[in-house]
Amino acid sequence: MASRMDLAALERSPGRLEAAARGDRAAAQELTLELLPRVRNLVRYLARRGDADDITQDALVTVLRSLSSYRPTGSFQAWVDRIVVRVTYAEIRRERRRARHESAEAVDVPGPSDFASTYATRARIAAALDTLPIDQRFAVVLHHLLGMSASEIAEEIGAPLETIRSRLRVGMQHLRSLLGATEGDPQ
Amino acid sequence: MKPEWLDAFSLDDAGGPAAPLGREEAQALASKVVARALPSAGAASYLRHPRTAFLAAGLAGALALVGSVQALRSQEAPCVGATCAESAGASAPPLRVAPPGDGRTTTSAPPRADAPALEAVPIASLPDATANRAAPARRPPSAVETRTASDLLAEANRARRDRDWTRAAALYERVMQSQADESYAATVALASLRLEHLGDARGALVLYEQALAQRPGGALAAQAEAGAARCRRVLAADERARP
Repeated sequence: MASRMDLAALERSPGRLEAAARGDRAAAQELTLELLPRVRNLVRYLARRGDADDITQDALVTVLRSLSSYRPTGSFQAWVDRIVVRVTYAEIRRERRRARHESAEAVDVPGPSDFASTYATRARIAAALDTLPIDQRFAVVLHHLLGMSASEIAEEIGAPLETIRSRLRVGMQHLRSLLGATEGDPQ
Repeated sequence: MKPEWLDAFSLDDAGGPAAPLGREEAQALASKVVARALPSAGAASYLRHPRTAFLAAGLAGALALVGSVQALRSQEAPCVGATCAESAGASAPPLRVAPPGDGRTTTSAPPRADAPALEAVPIASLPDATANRAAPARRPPSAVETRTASDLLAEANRARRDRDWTRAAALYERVMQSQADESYAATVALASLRLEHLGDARGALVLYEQALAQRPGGALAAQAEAGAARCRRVLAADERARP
């Protein structure tokens, strides 16, 4: 598709990133537009639908403000993802504290026959993820979406491996019960 | 056996799970992000000193009018990059990112030999992206009168974020009445608000159907269809629960 985000092209033309980092509004606008679809999708996997757009804004603002600290020694996409994950986690924890005494919203997972598209399937997955506790949700997303093994998550988070495995196991059991089908335990 | 849904559980710039965003919505959202990340010095000074703003009320009114026109023009700019709803993308390359956590976790975790070299950005050191939420800008009366539908939509979103559902609903209704481009997004947003927070599934269904009729196949059509389906399920359940 002609309009596909091409982060590799962004990394090949660091001048655009540098311009945005210097405060060039046009460059910042263009960069934001290119990052927007992927960031929205990642945030939606990690946060409830009602919070996703606000967190997306916060994450992108943080990305723009942090551009001057980016060094092209690693993947720009991974750097952006990392910021998005952290901003999302921080925001969810803040919201959770604020809403500690509020009852959880009822979650309605759409039936499989509602849509027959990738979007519909992912929307079902995100709705099912909405029902998980935050620690389980992040473990599941980091493992299944971002490709980290349980041991890598444990190492990075500093939590015991068995704790991470338990979060993944319980989280996936919950997802299976909502979404159906069978699957072996995560590694 | 690997479940079918797990194959779709991937991340790219298209295909969800976030609801598709039209080019106007994407442009407006990107403009808001840039405005928050890179506020202009003049606007910041103006908002921080309301007394001087009142002294320059006449000039401010004129500037606000010009700014409104420019804002509307900017929303009509063509789609740039991959933000259009109709965009599609390939699967993202394998990713390895640092996990979420606080600053302690981030700084104490040893680097992995196989990890890509990423610039360490502890969350504690990042700029506070939520700071602008806590201190809404004070505007002089003349600026209030010149608020655009985009301003109202942003205000409605802030009210929703603050869980002030009634005020958010009233603001979304004002955006709808403006007949501006934003009225479509406001209709869907108000429908969602009524369904999820105001207990008005019947009113939400009317709005979802109104949005679908307003823009059949529009950028928010999938969201509206899903919302309408949820409304019907809620209404059916209510009907069954009646004695």
